[in-house]
Amino acid sequence: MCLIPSYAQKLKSDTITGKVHQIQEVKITGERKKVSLKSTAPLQIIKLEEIEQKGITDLSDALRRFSGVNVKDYGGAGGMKTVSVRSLGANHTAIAYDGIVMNNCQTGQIDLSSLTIDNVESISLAVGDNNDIFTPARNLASAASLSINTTRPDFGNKKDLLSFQTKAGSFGYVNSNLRYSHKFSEKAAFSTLMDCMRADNLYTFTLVNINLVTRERRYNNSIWNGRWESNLYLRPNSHTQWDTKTYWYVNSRYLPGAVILYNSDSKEHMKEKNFFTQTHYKTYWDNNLSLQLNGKYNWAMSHFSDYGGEYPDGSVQNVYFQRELYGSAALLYTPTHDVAFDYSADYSFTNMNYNSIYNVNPYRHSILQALTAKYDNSRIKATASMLGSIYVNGAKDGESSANQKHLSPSLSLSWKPLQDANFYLRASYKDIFRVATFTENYFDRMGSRDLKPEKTKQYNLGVTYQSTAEGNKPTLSLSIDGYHNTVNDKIVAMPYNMFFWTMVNLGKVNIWGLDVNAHSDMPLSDKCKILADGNYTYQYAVDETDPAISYYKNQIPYTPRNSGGASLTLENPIVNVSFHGTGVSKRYRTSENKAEYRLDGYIECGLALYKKFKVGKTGIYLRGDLINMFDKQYEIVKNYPMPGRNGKITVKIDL
Amino acid sequence: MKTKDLLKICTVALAFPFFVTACDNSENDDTTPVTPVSTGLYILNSGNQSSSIEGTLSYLDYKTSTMSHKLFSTANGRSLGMTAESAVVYGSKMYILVTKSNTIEVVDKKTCKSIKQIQPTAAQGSMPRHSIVYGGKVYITMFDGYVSRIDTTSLSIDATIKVGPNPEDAILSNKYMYVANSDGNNWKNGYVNGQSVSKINLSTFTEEKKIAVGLNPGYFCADSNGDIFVLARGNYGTVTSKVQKIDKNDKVTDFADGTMFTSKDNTIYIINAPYKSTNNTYISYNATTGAKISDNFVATKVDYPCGISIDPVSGKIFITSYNLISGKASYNTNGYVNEYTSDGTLIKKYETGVGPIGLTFVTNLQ
Repeated sequence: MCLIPSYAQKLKSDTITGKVHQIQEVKITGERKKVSLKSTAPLQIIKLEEIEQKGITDLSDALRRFSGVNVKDYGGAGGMKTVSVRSLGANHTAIAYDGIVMNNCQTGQIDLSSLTIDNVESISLAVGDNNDIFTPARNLASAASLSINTTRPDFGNKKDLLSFQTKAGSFGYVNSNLRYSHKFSEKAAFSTLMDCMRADNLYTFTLVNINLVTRERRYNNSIWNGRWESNLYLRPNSHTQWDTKTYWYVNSRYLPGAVILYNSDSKEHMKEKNFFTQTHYKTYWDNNLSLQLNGKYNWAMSHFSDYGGEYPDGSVQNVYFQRELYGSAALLYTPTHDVAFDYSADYSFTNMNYNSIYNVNPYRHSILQALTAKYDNSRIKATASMLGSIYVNGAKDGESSANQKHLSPSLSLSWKPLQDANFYLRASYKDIFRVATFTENYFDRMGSRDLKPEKTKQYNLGVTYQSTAEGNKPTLSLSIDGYHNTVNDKIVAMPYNMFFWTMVNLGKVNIWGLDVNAHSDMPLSDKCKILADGNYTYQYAVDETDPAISYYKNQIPYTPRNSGGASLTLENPIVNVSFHGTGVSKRYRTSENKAEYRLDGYIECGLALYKKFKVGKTGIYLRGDLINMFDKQYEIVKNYPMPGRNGKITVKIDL
Repeated sequence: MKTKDLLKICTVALAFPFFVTACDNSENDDTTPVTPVSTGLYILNSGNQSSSIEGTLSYLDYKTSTMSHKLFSTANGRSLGMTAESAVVYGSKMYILVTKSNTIEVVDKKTCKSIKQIQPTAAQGSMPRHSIVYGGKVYITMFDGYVSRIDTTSLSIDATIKVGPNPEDAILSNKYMYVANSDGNNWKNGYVNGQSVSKINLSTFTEEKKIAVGLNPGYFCADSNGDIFVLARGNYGTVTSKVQKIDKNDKVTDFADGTMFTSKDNTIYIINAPYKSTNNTYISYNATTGAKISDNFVATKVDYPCGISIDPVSGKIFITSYNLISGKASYNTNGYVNEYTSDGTLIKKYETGVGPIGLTFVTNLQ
């Protein structure tokens, strides 16, 4: 199952030299493992070959294979998708793209539908502490972080690589991309990817209006998007890695809106553009010191429009622009084999403006500093860190929100009690918060300047286990984590009357949960094996805002008590087959857990067939997906029906 | 896309009223004057779009003092739809206006069985808000700037005229229909194109003129002299909400501060619960002189007033309210209505559905 060591991996190997902090990183890319065994806080990883093996179709599907995750999906290729981890809310999940956190100062959320899975080498989800301490401070500033690492070219003994991939599927879906990579020398390489997608998304769904059952269609739902990404990989010497990325993305989508009974007329449209360039530089010296520098410039535009006679001049047009300049430096000191210290300092400047008389041109300086210590020997691993955050808010043309200053500690520990068994116990604690987004602070007359940060606390206790691989015996890896989280001063919109709403800090959530991940490889013969994967999540997440209100201790909206997923794959010389399913138990669409507000649980299953082969020197990859194969009608968000049975065919050619 | 959601909330918010005046059909000219007896009260619960809660219909039976819920969906096996706004009783039928679903449900007044669901075409305006009844027709304000007329025999829209932007409530006075042009969706520009009341001649069904009033007019009530009162709701900031009087000569004068009101005979009952205020007042006034009658027209205030109305026959006062969550209005849970005697003594509190904004009295003639 070992891949040919890629260019990137070779470079990483060059930079190891026995340093504790980097061994972890290499293991991630070097071995195929479901659970990160030695991780002090829960870390789940899905790698490229698993995307194939598990029949994963897009990023939101990938995330549903993680435990502890709630993906909010508004349905179809153009439907917004956000991820909330362990009931904390989507705004508490940071998303790092090739190591640098993507920041949306306007909404605080990254829409996963804007990212493609075709460019992904690995996806990992860290809950609480990040195990890689040599990282920008911002990467520590969230309750959970999702890392998306893109594919790096694997040149072998070639100088140029060209690949073309196209996917076609139901509801007018076509997605094509072209990737070209060139190696200038052992010290420099370049790659570029162009990707475009379109879909009509006119899927049908069953609308149940009490006793009136009708078959309806999602109108006004088409989308197209395009992205262009270029990477420059430099290796000035064996101690140094310097990668730079430039990214351009544009998308245009019609929004069908929520299904409203008797009225399927929607004229909403959203257009988004995003440009960023980021650079990552890492080097180490012989005096046990390593330095990391990161920088990013980000620009984004979003334009929402809706048309109708009820609006002045027949339409509403909301156009937002945001910009960010970001820089980070991290210094790692490893005085001995098992001790490491890191100091990271980040600065960012963000601003936003939009086309409203309420626009005050808000901006924010963020200064984050983290001091982390790590101890790691063969049996015990411990990390302690302190993050200091300073947010200085201003508004060029009006009143700004208050500045914020906080210290956020975190601690985590992993212990291997038995010398000979791959069995670990772990415990972690993290105290972190999020500041209000610009939307929450400034959006028209709804924004509130005086919002306090939304605070979270996380406690985790877990075990991990992996059986030793012996010949053709089945292997098992397992992780079980129990956790307790709290969210305080939750930021929510509340009405003065039905016309006029404002954002307030109101809300307290108490969360108890359990995450389980299991994976087994079962070799049948030399060429055949079965891979089995499962994840399960239990979440007791209740509202404890006000004992006097009817929903005190009710489960928070859109949070199932039980959820999980499983996949079973048969790898064989003819064609590999993967059968997979994800499911959740009942949820409620409002704070109040009344039967009338219930969304029923569902199980959605899919089937993937895939094969890789060569014709001459050309590598060919074929894949067929049957998604929602039992045509289950379900909703993740009320009144946003998901597509029924649909299919997708993928052809990839590597030259 | 969170912004979009917020925007949605705003749009929805704009599409909601926060109370309704009593729909007194005593001016129906097709009935002979006999002693009316009120038998009960329909409460229209608007629901809440941001929580995907559809509108429902509740009924308070005076005889048994019981509230029954979800009458429309029970009778018809389907939901009323999103954002149930207001209802009016005319003859044996009730017309329920559902703004977001863009429907007018014509139901039997007693059974709530749907007789017809009217879906206006684009040319007939969309998003029905409020209505009056007169001369065998129901006149409906449409939020995109129109008034449409339903013929009660054919139960279809037979004429449509244009009024100001985002019309809200309407009232009948001296054979004229008055419509509040709120321009509510244009709050970013200070509701500048509203600030008027359209005066519509019902014999020709044409707008005769626009009467200039305060900012963001929303609701009406009338006194026994034929003067009407309009609520200019302001901008929830620098311009506060006030009640203005429009006399028979269409002359407009400021009457009192207030955020919701209702009337009976020659008394105006005004609740003033301004944004961010903790001291709400419930004051009644003499409609002609403007003199205060009572500083507290009810003995027990509600938590967070949502609507007020007075039974035109019995004089009982009804005030609907949200429940509170840590001092804020809980917009996605059931509210309640307090029933008071005409002198303001609390009789009973009843649970309602979510967002009890519409109160429609059922009066039977004996």
